[in-house]
Amino acid sequence: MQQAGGFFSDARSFLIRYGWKLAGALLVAYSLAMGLVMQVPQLPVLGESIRNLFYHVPLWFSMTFLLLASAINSLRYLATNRPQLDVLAAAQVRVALWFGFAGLFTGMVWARTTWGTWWVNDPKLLGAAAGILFYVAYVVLRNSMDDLQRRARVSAVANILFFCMFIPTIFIIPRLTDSLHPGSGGNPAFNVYDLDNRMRWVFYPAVLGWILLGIWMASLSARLQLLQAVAAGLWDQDVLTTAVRHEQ
Amino acid sequence: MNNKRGLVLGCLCWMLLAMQPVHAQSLDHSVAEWLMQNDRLNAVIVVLLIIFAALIVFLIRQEQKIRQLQKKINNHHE
Repeated sequence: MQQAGGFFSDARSFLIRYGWKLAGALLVAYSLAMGLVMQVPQLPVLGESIRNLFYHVPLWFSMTFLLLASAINSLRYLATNRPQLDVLAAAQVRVALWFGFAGLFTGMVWARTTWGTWWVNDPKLLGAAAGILFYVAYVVLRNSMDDLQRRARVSAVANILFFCMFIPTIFIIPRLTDSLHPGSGGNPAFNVYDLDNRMRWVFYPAVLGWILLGIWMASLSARLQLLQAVAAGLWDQDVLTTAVRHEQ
Repeated sequence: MNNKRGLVLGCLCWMLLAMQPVHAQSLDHSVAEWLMQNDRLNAVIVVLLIIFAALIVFLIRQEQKIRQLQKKINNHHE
């Protein structure tokens, strides 16, 4: 009886520790394959390129989620002065940037198919490019400082500021003007025109999968950076939080 | 060992996908037309999944690296 309890306890602990990572990996693998294989509505102009909805949009959603989490962690850093929060915020921005570049690339492929060109000077596209540049500037700013405390404090403030600029640039300004992009300038998005019920079975798992994968990647990067800093003697071992210790 | 795992995963994906019926219609766009021919579509899916499997293998190796580093730090601390 005790052994069975031990087994279930071990299984539960394994699922809590690794289950969400496994779920993220499986959901993304499922969406990568099903996105190309499933039947999609045949719509004028969009044609088969509608399948890009399963790749382009989840990548941008995950990027926005990670940037929001990063801004919250920067706020928490300023409130508590715990360096692990700053490291985590920076890791989340780095992963979000990778997702952003992949989102830009998939978006350009989609634009080439539907609009006939890789890039147009559309408010949404320009906003996306500007948003990515804000965070490239964040990484440059962060890497330009050697003093750990100063770097953490300045980059936390910059991160919060850039997030406050990012949201209007990406989501608000394009809605106020004419735009080719779905969801902006009065164009439809996520409704009967481009997201029927069959597509939801791939789209939502893709969004969830990429978000979980992003959280995993950022947490790995942050944990590794913290441990390397402790091993190099830059920080005391006390800096290792439960986020690191639970992996022992 | 990790490369072998990636290869096995890639082969499994290939086997599973080779059995999938492909419903894609013929397209106006030439690249999409080329892509949506069954064999090529399967090949693209397998390449995507292999790249993704390589990413997952990399993340798992990072997890192992973190565990080793954590143990080293703990031992050193004790």
